[in-house]
Amino acid sequence: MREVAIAAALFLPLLACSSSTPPVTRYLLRGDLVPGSGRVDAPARVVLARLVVAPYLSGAEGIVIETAPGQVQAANQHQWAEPIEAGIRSFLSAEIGAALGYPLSASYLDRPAWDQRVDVSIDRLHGTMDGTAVLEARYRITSGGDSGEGVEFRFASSTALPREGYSGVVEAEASLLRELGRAIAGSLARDAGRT
Amino acid sequence: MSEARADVSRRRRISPIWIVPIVALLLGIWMLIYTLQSQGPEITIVFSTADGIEAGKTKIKLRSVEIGLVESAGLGDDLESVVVTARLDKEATPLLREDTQFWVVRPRIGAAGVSGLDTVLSGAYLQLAPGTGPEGRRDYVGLENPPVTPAGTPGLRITLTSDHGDSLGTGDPILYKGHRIGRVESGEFDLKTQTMTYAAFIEAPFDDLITTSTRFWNASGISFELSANGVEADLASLETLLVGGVAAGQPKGVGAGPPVEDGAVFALYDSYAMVNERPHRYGIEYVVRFSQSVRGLKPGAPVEYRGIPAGQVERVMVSDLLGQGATGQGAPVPVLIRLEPGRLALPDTEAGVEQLRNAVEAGVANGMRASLATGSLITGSLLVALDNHGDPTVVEIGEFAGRPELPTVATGLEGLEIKLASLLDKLNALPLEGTVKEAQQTLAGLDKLLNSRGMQELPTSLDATLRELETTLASFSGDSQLQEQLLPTIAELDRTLASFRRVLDTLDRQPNALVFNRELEADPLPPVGAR
Repeated sequence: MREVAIAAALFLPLLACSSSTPPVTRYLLRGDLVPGSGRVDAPARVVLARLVVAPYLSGAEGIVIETAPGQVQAANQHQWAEPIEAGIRSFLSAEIGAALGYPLSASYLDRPAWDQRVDVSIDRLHGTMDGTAVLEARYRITSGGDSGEGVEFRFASSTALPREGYSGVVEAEASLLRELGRAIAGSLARDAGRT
Repeated sequence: MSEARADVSRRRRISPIWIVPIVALLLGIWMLIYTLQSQGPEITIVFSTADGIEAGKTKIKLRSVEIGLVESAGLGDDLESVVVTARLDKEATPLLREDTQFWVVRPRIGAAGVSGLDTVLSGAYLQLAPGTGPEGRRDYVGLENPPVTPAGTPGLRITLTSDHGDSLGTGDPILYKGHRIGRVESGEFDLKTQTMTYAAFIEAPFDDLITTSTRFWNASGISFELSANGVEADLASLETLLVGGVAAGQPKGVGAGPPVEDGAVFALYDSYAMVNERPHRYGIEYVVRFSQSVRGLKPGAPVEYRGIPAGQVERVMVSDLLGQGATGQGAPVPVLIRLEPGRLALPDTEAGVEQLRNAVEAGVANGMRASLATGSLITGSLLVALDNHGDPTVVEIGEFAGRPELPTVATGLEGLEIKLASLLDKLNALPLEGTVKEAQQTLAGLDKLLNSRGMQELPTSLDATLRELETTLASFSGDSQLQEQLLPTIAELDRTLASFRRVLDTLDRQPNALVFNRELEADPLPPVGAR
């Protein structure tokens, strides 16, 4: 009897470790991006320089859902495949470049000398339990080099989830970021025309 | 039978005839007492002469009222004076006071006018001027002339002194802005000080005008001044033109000072121009001795303290220099200067003089020296400048010819000469020869070093080092490869730290999470949106 008790004490943790964990689904924000085509020699040197994501987004790997007003929760089983900053930067630069018709530098390091510079701050980007996704952002367009004064814009939009679940959230957020990219491209074009 | 004897006795009786002399005696005593009680006091007055005085005839008057009679006049014991004995009325006794004055009124003709004409017919009489002092005096010295100012007149008595006999006489007016405020009472020459001293009286309320800053000058006659504007004539009044007089006032730019006491002494200037040349009354005289030429330094030249007028040069003391027996020895030339506290905004009083003296002593102790400075480059006039030259040498105020002496310092060309000589002396004292030799050796060693192989190759080596440094710095620039590699690494590290933080959070919530699976909550399922 004593031997049985010792064996049970040794094997019980092993049994616990052997229990399975729920699978994690990872989402790529730019998964539906189609490689663009167009001019490679851009008429203007445009760079997406600084991208700041709200800490509640950058500190979580999971996709964030607003469960109640003022309450958010990062999903455990539904996570981003890459850091959210990197994903948004790639997505936005691709969308802005597509809207402009010529490529955009996704990093300030790629193009230290620039004609137009875009700095973006993502303040809110999450799904909600009432079936929508929201995006609030600010962006600043600066022309004329480091000494130039920038013009700041605000962007806020929301859209309904196309389907239930987190894939719907990712698709809706991509849609909102696409809208943001177009808005930035429009501002860049107007700024270039003014200067 | 008895014989009757008659007892004869002589009865002594006073004869009634004695009543008459007794009554006469009593009457005489009564008359004597009455006479003694009714007559006034007897006084004696001493005059230098009894001209016009007659015993039993000459009267004593006050305000033309007869109050006494001269009883006798005789020579004094010294035979050089006349002693007049007079009897005053009893009612006049209170008039005999300590400062009561007597003089003989007789016809007089003088600069002040004609007086006493009425005595030509009536004869001379003695005038009494009552005083204000205590009563009881019976012996007096008579005045030879009528007093200019009656005793007891309210006002201020002052003394005016002058180096020479001015055309002033007794009774001459003292004018203030043309208005008569007093008069000269007397004047006498002081043999000891060789000066004329005038007693003057300022009547109340004009005595308030006389302060320490008031100056008096001779206003007799007419003064002429020839200037670019032509000839200017100044006349105080017709009276002063005829009989002379004294003017009183303030120097230009000087305000009224504190009031003066009775008996104050003032200098009598020759003119208002001289008053303005020396507007201040009090001053201190110092001697300063210079070893350089004093050509251009004249009496009246300014003495300045850092450009502020502080006094003037009185004279070059050549005679005192010779008196010191310093001829032929290149002795410095003594110059007498006068510093006046009034010029330095100090009170023009004895107290101001003391303040100035203390300030000068303190200044000298702190390095203040006198020097000759050029007043005008065109005329070459000099002035005496007082300034702090930072001389660390402790010097006390000396004495020369009985006057305090201020230390001096050479400035200007001579000062440069002295400094240059001092500099040359120091240069001579330097070990230049040895220094030059050492410098030559050092230069030779430096030349050898510069020509060495290592030094010749130094530029090439330095250039290579700089290139390496440039390359190294370029690797840290913003677009360098190092930067490109470093930034993703930092981002990865940041993500790792974030994951580690989540692990820690999990352990904090569920300590057995390392052994057992986390009790994960099911993710909320977002619904499809309403289109």
